[in-house]
Amino acid sequence: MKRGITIPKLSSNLKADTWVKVYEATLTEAATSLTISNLLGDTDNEYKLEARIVNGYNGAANYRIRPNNDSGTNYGHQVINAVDSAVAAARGTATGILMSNASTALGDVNQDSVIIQAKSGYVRTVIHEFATKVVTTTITRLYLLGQSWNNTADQITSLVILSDRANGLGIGSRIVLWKKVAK
Amino acid sequence: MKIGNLESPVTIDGTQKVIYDSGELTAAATSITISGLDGDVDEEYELIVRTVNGSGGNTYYGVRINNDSTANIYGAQNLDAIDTNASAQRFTTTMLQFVLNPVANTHQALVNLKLKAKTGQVRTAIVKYAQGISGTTVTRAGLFGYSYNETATNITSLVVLAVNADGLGIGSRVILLKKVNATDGIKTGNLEVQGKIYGVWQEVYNSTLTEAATSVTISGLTGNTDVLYRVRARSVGGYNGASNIYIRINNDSSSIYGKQYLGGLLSTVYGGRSVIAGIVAGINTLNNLSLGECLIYAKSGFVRTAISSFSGRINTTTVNEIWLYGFSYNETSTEITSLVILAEYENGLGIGTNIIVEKLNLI
Repeated sequence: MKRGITIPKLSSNLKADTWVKVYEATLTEAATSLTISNLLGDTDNEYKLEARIVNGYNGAANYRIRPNNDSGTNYGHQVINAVDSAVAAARGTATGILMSNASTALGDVNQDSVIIQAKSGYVRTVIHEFATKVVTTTITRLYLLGQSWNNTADQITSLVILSDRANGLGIGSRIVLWKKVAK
Repeated sequence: MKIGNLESPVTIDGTQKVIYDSGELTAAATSITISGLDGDVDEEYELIVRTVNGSGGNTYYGVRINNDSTANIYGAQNLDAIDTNASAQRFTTTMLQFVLNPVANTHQALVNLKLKAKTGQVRTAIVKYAQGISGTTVTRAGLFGYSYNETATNITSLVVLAVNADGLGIGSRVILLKKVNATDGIKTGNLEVQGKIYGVWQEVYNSTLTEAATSVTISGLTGNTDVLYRVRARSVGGYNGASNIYIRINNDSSSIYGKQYLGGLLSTVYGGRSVIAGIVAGINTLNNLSLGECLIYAKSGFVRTAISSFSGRINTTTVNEIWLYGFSYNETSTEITSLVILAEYENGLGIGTNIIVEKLNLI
C-alpha cells in the first residue's frame, strides 16, 4: 500500500536533502563571463556544475571557474588526459578551476561535469571530467581532474565562469548549477 | 509547508528525477527503447546502466540516439586501463558505445553517462565505466568523451543496446534521469519533505567529524530496495602518512573486492588490477584532503559493482593524484545494510571529514 501524498505537479522551494537546481542559463548572446551570485557555500556545502560551452571566439579559448571571482594563482590541479592514442598526466597551478581547455576555433563544443566541495574551513576540492573541442565526430581531448582552491576562509558567494577570450562563451553555451538543500 | 513522503507521480521544479527504470530484467533482451523524450526541452539526461551479459558469448553495449545507426556518426575519445596498461583511443562508430568490446558472457558492466541533448550543436556525452566484471576481476575502467554529429533532430528516444542478441541479460537495468522544469502546478513556497521523494537522489547520511576517527558506519540501509548508492567523501587526513580511505560493504573485510584503476600522479599515468579488502574512495595524509565520489550498484543477486573517482593528498595548490576505479564486490547474496567508511590507519579520518551517502528512490 502506498503511503504519502500523490501530487501531479509542484512548483516549490524544496527542502528534502536532495539536489535542487539553483542556476540555469543558455546564452543567447556571446559573453566573456557569467556570474552565478547569491550563493551560500557554507550552507550549501557542495555544488554540481554541468556545462556545455560553445566557443564564441574565433581562435583558442580556455575556460575557468572562479569562486568569488578570485583571480589569483590559488588553484591547483592534477590531471590525467587522453589525446587520440596518447595518455598523459600533469600537475600544476592556475588562476581558476580549469575547465575545457582545447577549444581553438569558433563553434567548438565542450562538456564539463564538476563537483565542488564548497564549505569553508578547508581548502576547497573539486572532481571534474571534461571533453573538449568537440567538432563533428572528433573529441580532441578527454580529461579527469582533481582540483583545489587554496582558500580556507571565505564563504563562496559566487561562481564566475569565464573565458580568457572576449565572448569566448558563445551562443548556445549552457550552465546548470545544482546544490543540496537540507531538510 | 511540511509534508511526509512524496510518491509517484510527482514533478517538482528544479529537481533531477528518474523518468525511466527498466527494473532488473527478468528475461534477456537485445535492446531497450526509452521513448517519449523531448531532448530540446529536457536538455540534459543522465543514464545509469548495469549490464549482465546474457548473449552466450562476447558482446559490448551502447546507446543510439533516435535509434540512429548511421555509420561513423558518433565520435569517441577513450581513456582507460586494462590491468597495468593505460591507453587511449579515438574512433568513430555507429552508436554511443559506452562499453568496449569484449565483455565476456555473464560478465557485468556499470556505466554512468551524462548527455547534452539539445539540438543546435553537436550532442556530447561524458561516460564513466567499469566493465568485464566477474568475481573479483574488473577487466577495464575508464572514461569516454562522445559526440553525436547530428545537430538538427530533437531527441525523442534512446535505445540502449547490446551488439549481440540477448546481451542485456537477466539482471541488467537501465535508469534514465532528467532535470525537471515544472512551469505549472501548485506553488507551495518552501516545501519540507520529512520523508522520501520518489525518483530523486536523496541523502540518507551526512556527517562531518568533530573528532578524528578510524571508521564511520552508515547503518540501517536497505540495499535491495535502494539499489543504487552514491557516496561522497571529503576526508581530512588524520594520520601522519599516506592512508587510503575504503568503503566496506556490511563491514566485510574479506579480500573479495576486485579493482581496476587508472590514475595520474605528477606526470606519470598508472593502471593496475588487483584484489583488496574494500572499495578505495580516497587517499590522504596528515591534514591533507581527498575528495571522492563512488556510485555503487547495491542490489544482491549478482556481484555488486562500483565506479569510484577521487583526488587525493590535496594541500593548498598541490593536488597529488587523481584516480578512477572500477570495483566488484564478490558477494552476491547478502543485502547491504551498512557501509563502513574506513581509514587504512588509526584516526585517518581527521576532524572535518565530511561523508555523504545518497540513495536513488526508485520505488
